[in-house]
Amino acid sequence: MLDGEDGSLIQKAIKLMVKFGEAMKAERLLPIKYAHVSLTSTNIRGEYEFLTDFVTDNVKVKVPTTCQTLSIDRERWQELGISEDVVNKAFEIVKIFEKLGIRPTFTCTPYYTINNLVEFGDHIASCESSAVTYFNSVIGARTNRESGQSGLISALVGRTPEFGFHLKENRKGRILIDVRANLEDDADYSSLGFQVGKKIGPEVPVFVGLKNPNDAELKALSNSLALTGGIALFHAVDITPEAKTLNDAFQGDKPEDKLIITQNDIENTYNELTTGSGEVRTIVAGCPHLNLFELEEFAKMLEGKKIKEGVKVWLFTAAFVYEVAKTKGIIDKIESAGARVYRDTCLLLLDGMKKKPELVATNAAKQAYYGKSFIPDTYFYFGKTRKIIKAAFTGRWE
Amino acid sequence: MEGKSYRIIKGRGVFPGIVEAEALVTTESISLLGGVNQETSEVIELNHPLSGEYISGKVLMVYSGRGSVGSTSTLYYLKKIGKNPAALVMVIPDPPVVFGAILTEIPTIVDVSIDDLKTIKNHSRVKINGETGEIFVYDV
Repeated sequence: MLDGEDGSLIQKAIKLMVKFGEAMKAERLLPIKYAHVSLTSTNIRGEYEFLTDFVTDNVKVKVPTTCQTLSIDRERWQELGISEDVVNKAFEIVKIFEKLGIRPTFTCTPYYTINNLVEFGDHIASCESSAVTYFNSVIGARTNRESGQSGLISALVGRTPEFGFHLKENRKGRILIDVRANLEDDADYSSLGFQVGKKIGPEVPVFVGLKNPNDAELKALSNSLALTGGIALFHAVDITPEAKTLNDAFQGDKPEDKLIITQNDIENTYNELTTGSGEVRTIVAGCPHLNLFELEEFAKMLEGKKIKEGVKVWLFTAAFVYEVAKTKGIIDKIESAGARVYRDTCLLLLDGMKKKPELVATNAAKQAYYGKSFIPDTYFYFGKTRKIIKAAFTGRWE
Repeated sequence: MEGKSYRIIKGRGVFPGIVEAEALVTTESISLLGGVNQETSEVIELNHPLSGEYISGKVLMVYSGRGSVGSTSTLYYLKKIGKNPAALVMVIPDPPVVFGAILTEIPTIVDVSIDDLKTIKNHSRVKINGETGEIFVYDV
């Protein structure tokens, strides 16, 4: 690759990786098994520009690669009222990714679209902070927090520099998090991650006291740890694969610090991200994208009922998961109640909408936290899943 | 600045190039996506020591990068519209910032000691050599 036998773009790409490795004091470039690449949204400057400047024809990724959330739903952009120029740009991006040989997943939860391709100990290069934390922590694969640009270039050369979370010593737990709270909902895990991230910053936390979290809850935890703490890896004793025991999680060392999380801490996030009560017009879930189990849960809560007139319920998921849910009748149950399931995109990345969503209730701390900067004129409520569904029927946040 | 006296601070050069410009200095980290306006290069993060400053054309000297990996995108876009920082200096190399600097060919020095960084006043005149890792500070 370095000598240009794979073409000038790949030569440029590998040279960038070598220089990046030198800068990060990596001893070598590692082969990767998989990559997940962003550069798919139209509302962050420098993504589309890089993609269209950098990529040339006839270049393909070297390893199985998935891609991140778009700014549109490819099937239902019309009903979302997205402007034509954003739609055109989004489809241009879709085309470039297809040409690159990247799987058209368009999701922030790529781990639900690749079966068991990525396994414990695999070196990969992943974009999307919540996916990075999930891959590192829940699967035990090894990735740094890649930017869209470094992620794409890694996919093109099938290599990443060996530094950071690729090295065992950097995966050692550092801070013990003793959870003394009863967590009963995805949103509680979202809240837990929000508080821990804020308190400890970019460290490796080790949780004790979690009671059998399901996959959706671990996904929610990954999401908010990355949000407020820039945390790329956590361990949970007897739950995540590098933490069979407390001793394993700390690689035989002692915790550098200890933090106790109480029920009050969990409740604090709800108070911090929501003030007061009032009218609700939009209910949003799917940050990160909902998995099949979560869609099933929503179907159970909505089946046979009607959401309140004038209230919108938007659920976001990956197209791949949508298709499976559709064949199981889950999508129909949800949509018969008046809710909508959107694919490929999310509330925060939707771009070019003629009418912005208003008075939004969500069960993900990230939506409420970032919502203010992405959609400045609206009001956000953050609450448990049961509470946002209740608001769908009443149109009120009490 | 021939003839003017200077002192030298050492770091590790990670992208070559010699640049002399005004420095923006803080011992805090900077969030290039979210904390900086991508069109104007103004630092917009509330309560940030560099809030209200424009990083365009300056030697940006910070503790590290913080927050989103979108820092690479901001550097790429700023370079494209000609409003990129002239050079970067960090105590701790933040991967997305370092990658962005290499991609956009901005001279960059890392591993500068925090104690050395503290001695440089904001708006000082500096010259950096991204090859040797030397920072010439014209304040003596």
